[in-house]
Amino acid sequence: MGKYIMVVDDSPTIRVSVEFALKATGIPVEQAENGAEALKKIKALTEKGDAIAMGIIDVNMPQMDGITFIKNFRKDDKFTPLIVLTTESEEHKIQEGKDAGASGWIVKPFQPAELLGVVQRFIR
Amino acid sequence: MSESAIKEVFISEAKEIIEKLESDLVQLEENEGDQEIVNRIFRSFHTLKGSSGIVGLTSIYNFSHKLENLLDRVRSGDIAVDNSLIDLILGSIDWIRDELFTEKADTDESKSAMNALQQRILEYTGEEKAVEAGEEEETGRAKPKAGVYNYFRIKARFADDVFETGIDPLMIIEDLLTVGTLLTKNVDREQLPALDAMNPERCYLSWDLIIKTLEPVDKINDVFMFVRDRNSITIEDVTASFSGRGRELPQEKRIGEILLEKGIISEAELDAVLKYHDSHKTKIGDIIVKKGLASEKDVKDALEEQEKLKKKIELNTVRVDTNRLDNILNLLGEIVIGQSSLNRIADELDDDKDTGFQLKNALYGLDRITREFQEQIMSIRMIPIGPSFEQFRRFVRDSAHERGKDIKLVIEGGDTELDKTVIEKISDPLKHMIRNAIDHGIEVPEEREAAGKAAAGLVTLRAYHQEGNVFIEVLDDGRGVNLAKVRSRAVERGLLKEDEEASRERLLSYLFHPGFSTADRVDDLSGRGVGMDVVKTNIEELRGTVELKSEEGKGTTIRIKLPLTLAIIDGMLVSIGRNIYIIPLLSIVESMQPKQEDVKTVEGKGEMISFRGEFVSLARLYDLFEIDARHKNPWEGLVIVVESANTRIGLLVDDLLGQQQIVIKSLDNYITRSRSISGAAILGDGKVALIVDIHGLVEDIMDINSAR
Repeated sequence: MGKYIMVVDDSPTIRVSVEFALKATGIPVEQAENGAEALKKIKALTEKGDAIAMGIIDVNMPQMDGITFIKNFRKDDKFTPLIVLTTESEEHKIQEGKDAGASGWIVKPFQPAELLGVVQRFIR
Repeated sequence: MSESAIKEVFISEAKEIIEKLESDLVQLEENEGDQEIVNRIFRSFHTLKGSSGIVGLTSIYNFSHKLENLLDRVRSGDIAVDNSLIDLILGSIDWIRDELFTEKADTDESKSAMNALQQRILEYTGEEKAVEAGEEEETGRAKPKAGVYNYFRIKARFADDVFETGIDPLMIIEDLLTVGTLLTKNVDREQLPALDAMNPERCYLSWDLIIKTLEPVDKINDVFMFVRDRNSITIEDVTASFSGRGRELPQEKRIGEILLEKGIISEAELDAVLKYHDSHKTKIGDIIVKKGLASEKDVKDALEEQEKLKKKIELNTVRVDTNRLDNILNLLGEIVIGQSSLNRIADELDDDKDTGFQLKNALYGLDRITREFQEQIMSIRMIPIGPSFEQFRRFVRDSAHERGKDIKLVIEGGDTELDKTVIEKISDPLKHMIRNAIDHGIEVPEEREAAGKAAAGLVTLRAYHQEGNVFIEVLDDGRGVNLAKVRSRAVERGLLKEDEEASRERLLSYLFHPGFSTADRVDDLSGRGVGMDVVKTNIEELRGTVELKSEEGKGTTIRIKLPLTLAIIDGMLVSIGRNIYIIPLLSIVESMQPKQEDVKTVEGKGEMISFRGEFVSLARLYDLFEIDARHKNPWEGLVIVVESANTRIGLLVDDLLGQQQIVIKSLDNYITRSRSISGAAILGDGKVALIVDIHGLVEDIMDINSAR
């Protein structure tokens, strides 16, 4: 049974940056462009017997935004940590994320070490 | 994945964002109140800001942050959309593009350009906002207030189900240690049950901490932000709450909006319906039908459209390097070749014998599957032409402004899918044709009004599929081609004699002649006399054809016909001596066996044959390719009449061998480049056949004939 970190962001730059920053964890990173795609991928992973160790989710995305994703995800899974990616102009989104069931957040732009630190604390 | 690879990803993402922004902005100019477009533009800058920040491009990060602020104010209705705002944003995009893709990056010139733009943005957003934005910009994060230590006492009693949101209290305590240093720590273990009664998914501990830090209280609040609600957390001497305005996320299209866009219901009617909906909670579609504002069918159609939009939204995609697709395609080509050699062997077997019959049957089934397989792979390479069309919005807008014209670009059939390579190669020719439409086609507003037309001209880009081909049309409703002018220019250039009769088609075909232009003056936009002939060449390289229709006073239509794919074509196998050549089926008009008296030699034009009342040049392929042929007389062999653009020629061959799907293999440089050969194919029996490039061949023949 494999574990993955799921990064959900509509910007490919952010996705590969997250993947780059999390190389040190040794946990493979799965990418999705929006909430809907992420839900599908997670479903596919669980069907194969794999799981996600944590999710890193952008708030503002087309098609399905991060908050809706978190709400949906939390219907089936209460324990997996979910971190919200925000920018400083979106502080109210942190609150919304929290209400939806997010476990933490990180502000973009972040330093790789910063993200790694947050992630490592969640998935020791 | 390295940092430079991340930068590459960013560059391609930025390119996409900029293209999208340009198209959105021009659309916004046409629909000033469209909130959906404003939202999209806002989000584009938002994304650009986030991504540029990640890769450390501070100048772009800061600049897009300002634009994001500006757009946010537009979104909230503080700032109205007008032409000068759109010009400003377009100018800003130009700056970002220069900064990203050109040498201008980081020069004094670019800095002063940025300052000028920022000044103009300030005029919209106002000083106050700018100062506020300026503070967070340096690092993108709030800086610690230097010098003075703050002390905070924190009591944290976590709810026993805290783990159920993926939160480990210990993680939060550790987070706190990144903000300051811990002075005292008390852990309350009173709630801890006996070991056998303990539930590992529950939290039983509480903390009492004192922390020393340079950070403001907000930072402490941040740490606990996620646990404050459900858990009892107190931070002494501090009461802070989170600011922030509610922001609407862009939404999917509502049914009312769809009906409104279609003009079926009016805005006032929609408002009334929405009010009724709020108070009665009935479905909007039902209300609209009940009130008789639209028929049930209209509502059903709108619902279907809504469903389609949703489906589009849910599209699930994987990005694959096109090289990989090409590899698969090449392998498939090998399969097709292998299959045709199997077919050949099967053909030699006796049908009456069971095995022969069974083998043929099995091969027939296999054939069907490979064909379908091929279609599937081809469809992966297909992308919608929409984005490629959209990129012209900016171009049309700018060129029209420059020429003092009012021109709207209409895009139809953006969903039409074409091979990716074709889309890339067609972009320049399209630009050329659009430029022609703007320069020569559409009149200035005064002239249009005098002619009883709307002041604003229309340029339409349209794409559609028909009978295995893709059609792309560039239409304008301008003045049309002035045939008298074309005629006099043709006479001037010696293409036509003064008193010679010429059909409409023939006159129009002169527009594709190299160096032919009817423009009155030469300027930087078009009219340099290179143009349509280059367009024609480019299209023919893609094995397509161009056709021009024009009606004076009403407009011009240019229609491009392209094959669906590039790698596999339908070809006609012909034999010349012991060699086999392939002629693309698309170019063949007819094959015939001429009578001896139909073949004539015309002074200065070489050998001609009469074909349906007109004379076409005859090309003896054996002569041209310097090989042996069985028949050297046209009336003994076969003549295949082919067409490239508007020129027809007859090709003398020995025989037709049949028609077949051909996988094109490109010829590398080790074979002398010939204009008349476009590639090679491997046949079922392993023989190699060359594919005749009709376009190149026709030009070769014309060159030879004119040199006579």
